[in-house]
Amino acid sequence: MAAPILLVEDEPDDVYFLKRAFTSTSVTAPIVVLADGGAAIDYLAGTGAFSNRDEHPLPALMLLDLKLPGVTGFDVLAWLRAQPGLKRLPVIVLTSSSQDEDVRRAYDLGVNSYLVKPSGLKAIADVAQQIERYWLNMNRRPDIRDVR
Amino acid sequence: MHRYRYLVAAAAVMGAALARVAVDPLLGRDAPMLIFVLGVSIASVTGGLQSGILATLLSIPVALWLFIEPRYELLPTRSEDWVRIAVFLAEGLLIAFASGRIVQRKDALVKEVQHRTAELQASNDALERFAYTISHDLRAPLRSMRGFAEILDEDHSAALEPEARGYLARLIAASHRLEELVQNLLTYARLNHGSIPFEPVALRNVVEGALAQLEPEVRLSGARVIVDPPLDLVVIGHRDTLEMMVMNLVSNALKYVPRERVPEVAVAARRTGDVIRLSVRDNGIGVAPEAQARIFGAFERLHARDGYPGTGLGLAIVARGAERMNGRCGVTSEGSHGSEFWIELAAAPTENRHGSADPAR
Repeated sequence: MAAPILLVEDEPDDVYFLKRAFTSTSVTAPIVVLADGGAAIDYLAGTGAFSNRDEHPLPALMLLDLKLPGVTGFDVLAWLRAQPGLKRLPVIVLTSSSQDEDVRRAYDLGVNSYLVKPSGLKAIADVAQQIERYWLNMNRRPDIRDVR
Repeated sequence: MHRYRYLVAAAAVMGAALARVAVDPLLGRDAPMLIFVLGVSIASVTGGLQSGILATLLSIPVALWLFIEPRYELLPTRSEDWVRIAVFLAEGLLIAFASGRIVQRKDALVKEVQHRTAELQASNDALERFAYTISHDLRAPLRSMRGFAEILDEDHSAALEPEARGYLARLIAASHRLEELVQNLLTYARLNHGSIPFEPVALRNVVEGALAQLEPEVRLSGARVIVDPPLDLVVIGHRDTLEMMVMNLVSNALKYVPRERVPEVAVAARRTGDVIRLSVRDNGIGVAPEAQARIFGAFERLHARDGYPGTGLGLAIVARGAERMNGRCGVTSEGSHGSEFWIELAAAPTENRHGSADPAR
């Protein structure tokens, strides 16, 4: 299975819109949706329900919401950047917060890009297209390996 | 704090004793307590009640020893000296109590003011955070409403009756309006309490960005928008805020036009000295002279929503934004032939030819 795009998002409607937007691009990578930060860490670490790497391969890119129940996006980010093999994984924050404080904190934690969730089908389609164009095609991705 | 009070009392008494020694050739055996009253006053005013009492009590043996006959003995021989000392004691305590009360009241008042200020600041902050959170939380369901309404319109429009399609169009328009309001609220809240960093901003980018965002409105209204002369000026400001301000001005210019008239909007900028004036001219309904000052206030609306939809925040953002960027804004309008809204901002210092600043940014 090809390296998927990890979408960490608890808002089902936003998941729906984004998945719909990606289908109109030529992105072939599967989109794996995780609804909370704990699951994201488990997935990246390959622990718990995600211990089989053949079924749950390491992602090419993570789209991360910040306001998640329990383990937040910031927590996921802080954990990820402390993992030697994984820390280079490109992460794009996709959140409804445009607060300067959140933007600063996310970049301090080493996020690669910060996007405010757009509204309206056209704007969401634009985001999907830009992510495909820049982050999946133009950008040279690092190799990442498992923590273990 | 306590040691400080003792020090004040001791220093005041010592000062008074020295001064009395200095004038001893003049006074001799007269007025032995005179300058000690001054010492007690100084101690009371600077150190409060306790310093005053201490200075009073300290002054008596010093005066007895040094200035009251017979000198260098503690007990006076004349009975009038006992009266002197009793009167001094009464005076000293009175001064100490009086100034102690004043100092106490002043301290309490200062504390009260500080406390109230802190309370006010806290409730202000809480209110602003509340407004911010609410605006944010409103956005999520709004995104869903708008998104699904657009999916219905895009994918299922053929299955709907014309009447239902009309309702759907209204639903989408309403979600746009609500989104504009939330966006404006967020911008306005941020302008009131957030930090907005300044940098050189090319007006061309600002105007192009604003017009790109307004493209659907321009298209729908069939308006003619002219940017003239080409804007190659650079101001000092905050890019996003400035774009929002220009967007609001152009959006108003498109909106406040009689139905039968095709909107014509002219955006222009010119530099006078160190000031750049950006103006947006329209052929709309104009602004009556008596309303011209009022329209820049928050939630001021001159028209019913039926005629001209709006949030009542657009011009408040323009005014607050201009103020935060140390600029000015205003309107000139002659009757119903249109109006010209303007923003004045500081021009960016012209870079030298090899400068690193990039005006095209």
